[in-house]
Amino acid sequence: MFPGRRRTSEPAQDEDDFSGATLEFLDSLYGAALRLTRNADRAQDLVQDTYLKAIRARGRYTTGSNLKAWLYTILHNTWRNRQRDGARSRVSFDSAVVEEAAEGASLGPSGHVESPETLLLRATIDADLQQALDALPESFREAVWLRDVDELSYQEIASVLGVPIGTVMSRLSRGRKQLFLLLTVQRQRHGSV
Amino acid sequence: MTCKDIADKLATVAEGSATQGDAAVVDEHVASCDACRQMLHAQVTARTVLRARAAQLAVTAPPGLRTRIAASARAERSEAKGLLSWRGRLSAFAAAAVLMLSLGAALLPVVTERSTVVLAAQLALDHLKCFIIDGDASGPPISKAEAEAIVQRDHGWSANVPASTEGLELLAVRHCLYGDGLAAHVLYRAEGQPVSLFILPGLARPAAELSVLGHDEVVWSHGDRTYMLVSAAGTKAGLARVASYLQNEAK
Ligand SMILES: [Zn+2]
Ligand SMILES: [Zn+2]
Repeated sequence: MFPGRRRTSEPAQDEDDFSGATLEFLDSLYGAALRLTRNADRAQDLVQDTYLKAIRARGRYTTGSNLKAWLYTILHNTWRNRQRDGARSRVSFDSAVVEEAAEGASLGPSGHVESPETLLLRATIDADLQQALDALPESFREAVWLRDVDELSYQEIASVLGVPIGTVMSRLSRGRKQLFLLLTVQRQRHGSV
Repeated sequence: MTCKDIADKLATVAEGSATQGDAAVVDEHVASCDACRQMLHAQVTARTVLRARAAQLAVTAPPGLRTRIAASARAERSEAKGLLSWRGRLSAFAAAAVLMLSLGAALLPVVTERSTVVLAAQLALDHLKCFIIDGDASGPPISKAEAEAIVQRDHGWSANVPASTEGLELLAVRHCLYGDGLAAHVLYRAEGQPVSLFILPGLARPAAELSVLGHDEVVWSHGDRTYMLVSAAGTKAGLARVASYLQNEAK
């Protein structure tokens, strides 16, 4: 990890270390940008913009805090601003409505639900998982991914997504539930298990 | 405990990261509540599947992206240290060229406001990137209407995109980053040579002809848009013809 102090005797070295450290998360950030933009060109634009902002704001990064979470926060803020400023009309969903809709979904008869997760694990192919993730509303997918894959803390996810911790928890529960439902439906469609 | 109280605790209980108190409360509740037990099971399962498979879903950033970002970090640093003197020094142009070479198509709004040369260098690099690296221009020509529809879709504004004509083929439209935002990048082939027309909305720059980074460029404005035509050096006569055609058509 980089020392994080700035303007020491060797600032250039520090800053080299800083950009080097941020670049360790390039793949993760690009993955996040792809999930958000769903387009390789736009994802590259978003990541590049994120890094430029990060480099300019490096003085505001607190040494010792989670650098990945800090970068994710910049990326998501940039994305939200673009969404807001975008002249293009976009199908934007009200996340409250989506969350309500998810809440209403039934987990179905307990016979399906009670099968051990190892069965679903074995039956789920990567393409199905990708498809299920793509089908989740953005706010749910991000909460689930940041927690279960990136292992950010609830507080970190709250800053990344710009919402209170309670909202993170609720999106996380509902996102996982939706994901489970989608995977279960796919398994049944494939007729496996 | 109601189901609603339990719902808030399920996320952490499913991860095994809940406090002992919460875990006990949830355990007790789900023993007698089918719906919450199913919800808990769904959470555990989704998390398990996702974590087990996440590595297969991971993506790798394109190598060019890493290079551009590393270069823009270096460029930012030089900028911050004031190594570049922009006033009255011929060497500033050389510095700009070197800076832009390392920078690729990254954003540097402060710099581009200072110099059309820097902007020209950026666009020359984007021209190379879009034609050579991305290989966008290998397909058949597209129509004026298709090109204009792409601009409308990607940028949200309309542009008059000059059509193919004798010796000039309209190939593709991309949206590309430059110092002040997104440019509509129109790719042409003139007598077999790659030619780019960049349409930059929201800023009018004085007309100019310049050579930078081995490219000849023609700059003009119409309304609040700047048009920049880019082609490899050594095709000046041809470029002038293309420029006059595009200047008339693009209005
Ligand atoms: Zn209950
Ligand atoms: Zn381009």
